[in-house]
Amino acid sequence: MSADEFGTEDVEILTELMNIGFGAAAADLSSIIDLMVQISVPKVQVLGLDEYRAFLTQFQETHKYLTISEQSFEGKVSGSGILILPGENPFFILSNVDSDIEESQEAGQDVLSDLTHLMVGASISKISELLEEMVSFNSPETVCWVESSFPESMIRNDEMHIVLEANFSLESGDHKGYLLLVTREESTAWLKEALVKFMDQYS
Amino acid sequence: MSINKVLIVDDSRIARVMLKKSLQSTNWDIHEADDGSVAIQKLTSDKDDSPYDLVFLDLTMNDMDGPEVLRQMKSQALSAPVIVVSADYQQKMKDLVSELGALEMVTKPITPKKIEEILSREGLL
Repeated sequence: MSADEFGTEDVEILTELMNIGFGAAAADLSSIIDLMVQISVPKVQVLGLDEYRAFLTQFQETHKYLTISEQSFEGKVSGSGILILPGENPFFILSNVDSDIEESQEAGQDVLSDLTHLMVGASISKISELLEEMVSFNSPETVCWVESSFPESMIRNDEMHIVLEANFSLESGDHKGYLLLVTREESTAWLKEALVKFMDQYS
Repeated sequence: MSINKVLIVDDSRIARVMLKKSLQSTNWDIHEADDGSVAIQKLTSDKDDSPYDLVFLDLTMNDMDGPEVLRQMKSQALSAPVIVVSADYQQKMKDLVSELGALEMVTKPITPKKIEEILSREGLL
């Protein structure tokens, strides 16, 4: 399936589903940290390989340091959830998740994994529930820790990437994080059908 | 309370379609606003001659978000009852919209069944 075949209507439906999924993630996070989580309106883009590379590159151009964790999911819709914490001190956000966190990379990566699993798990589970499917999750992995660039291994050689993007910040400060959900090319045909089926209940 | 004229405020066209379909059986006169500032304009311009009886309001919008719409409604004495419809169901957000005067907050996705329950609970059927 080409990017053109995943049309405006599909993107609009997926944006609304991402909105619902991300709302679930924010609510789960808020209940754990007891702070309000401010969330953005999500954005969905259908990107070719080079566009996807350019999209990720924007983060390293905008922010001097990045901490990134990734969790893959498998099912009829498969892909990766990517959590990006910009800045040289990820503990600003991570210490809200675990107030006793020791400021070491190892401890930070553990909490980052928990945060990734929470946000990716809640978002994807909600979206897949709405599409009446089930996905399974692999363990989150830290792909870079306070580094100036992301590793090339983050980019799969798919010709088409559907990227769902939202950002969040905590009531306690202005530190922002980004959540990306990137589906694999092989899921696109099923996803398109599932979106049509989802909207059929409102027709 | 008799409902005739309703305003749906959401920047997502799909969300507005879903809500309109869920309200189909009511035969209400349904109007739409695709952001908060348009909603305030509509509520203001129609408040004397043909006021809205009920507003369904999304929370997360780019231009003017739901809480800001509620604040402006309060400051401009726009008294239409508001039901917040949102994907964001944080308790703190529920508390905030309640403080700002919303009747209640319901989580997306909206379904005809959910709508019926809310309207019945609020005595709007």
